[in-house]
Amino acid sequence: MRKEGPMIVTVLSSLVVLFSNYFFLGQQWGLTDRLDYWFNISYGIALALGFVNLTIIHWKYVQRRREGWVYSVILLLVMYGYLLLGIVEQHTGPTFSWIYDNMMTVLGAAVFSLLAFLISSAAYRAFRIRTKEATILLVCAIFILLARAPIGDAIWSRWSYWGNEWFMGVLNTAGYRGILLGAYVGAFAVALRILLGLERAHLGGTGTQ
Amino acid sequence: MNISTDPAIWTQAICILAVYTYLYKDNPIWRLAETVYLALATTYWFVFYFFTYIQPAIVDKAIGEGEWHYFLAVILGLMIFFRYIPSVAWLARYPMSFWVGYGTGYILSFEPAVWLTQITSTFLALNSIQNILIFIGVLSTLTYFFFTLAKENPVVGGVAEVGKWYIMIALGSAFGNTVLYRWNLFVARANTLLFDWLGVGQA
Repeated sequence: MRKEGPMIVTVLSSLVVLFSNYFFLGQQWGLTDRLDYWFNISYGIALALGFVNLTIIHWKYVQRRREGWVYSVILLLVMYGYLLLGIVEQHTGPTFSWIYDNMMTVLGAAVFSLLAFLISSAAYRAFRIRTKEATILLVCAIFILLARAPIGDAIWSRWSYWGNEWFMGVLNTAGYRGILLGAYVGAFAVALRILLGLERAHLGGTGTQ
Repeated sequence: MNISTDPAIWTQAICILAVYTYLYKDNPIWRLAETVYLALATTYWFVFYFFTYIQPAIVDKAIGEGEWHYFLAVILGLMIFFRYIPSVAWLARYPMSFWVGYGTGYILSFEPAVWLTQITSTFLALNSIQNILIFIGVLSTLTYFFFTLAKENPVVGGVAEVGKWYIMIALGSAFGNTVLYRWNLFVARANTLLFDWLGVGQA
């Protein structure tokens, strides 16, 4: 039952989703809503696994006085302090939300905005590779960048029209559609293999049969 | 200049500046900001899911409305913790199998509708330059990805080469959009620092 049981769960859960979406009875029984709720419950508990895992790893760092262990102490203090606050006043509480609004989202946005600088240096490196493909890629990137920013229209009044209508609407659409169709067919094939029990990567081991 | 006295703005400004110290080099202030972010994000999402799904499922739905099957969902989720006990670690495959099965069911249910729409949007009447360019682009891009076709054949190779240009245009556009999105984030942070915090231009 080490492999067969989980395999049965995989096939059954995918069949229930299929049944609930394709058949009227499935919709009438509210199977989709219930299964979505099941997924969110188990997913929430999996987040607890991440929480526990971080605790174990950083607790080991602190015990062994590994380089940078002070940050592990801070991480554990912030994690458990914030958890305690969350338990006391729930995720909609004023202090809990204040920390989310003024620290977590701000730190996240600032970290992502750092990529503005790093991605620009990546563009410079791409330009140094003097191939036809790299040049097309970079020229398109600059064209779109100027089409979507006000400076583009300030340089040439038709820039956003050509950028949005022709580049994004026609050339980009065609290229992306080709890529996506390949990806969709691939994902569909993998899903079918999972349903038929041919793909077992999620059970560990080599994953295929 | 009219520096803000709002503690929320000050907290935001300190967080932003702490992150931007990384632009100089890796330093203790950046690592502190990184650590705090990781700790807050991990905890926030767990607390959010607990009070949005787990607690209502147990208290309201299972106990309150008698939908006992939600206890099974909780037990299934908790089984992931068996991975810490080597002798029964295989039991952790059950929740993983449920997630994979759930995802598989959704892909098989909804994906065909999406890609069939993409196909019908491609095979339109070739009565405009836009339609012709999209038709050529999709077919040539797909030809590029057909690895079973011999690219040595001049026709296939030529079409695949056109497909490669289309792919480069698509990736270039994606790159441009990504750069713009990141710069937008940076401009918003700069606005917070300059206008909300320092009050530049305010009497």
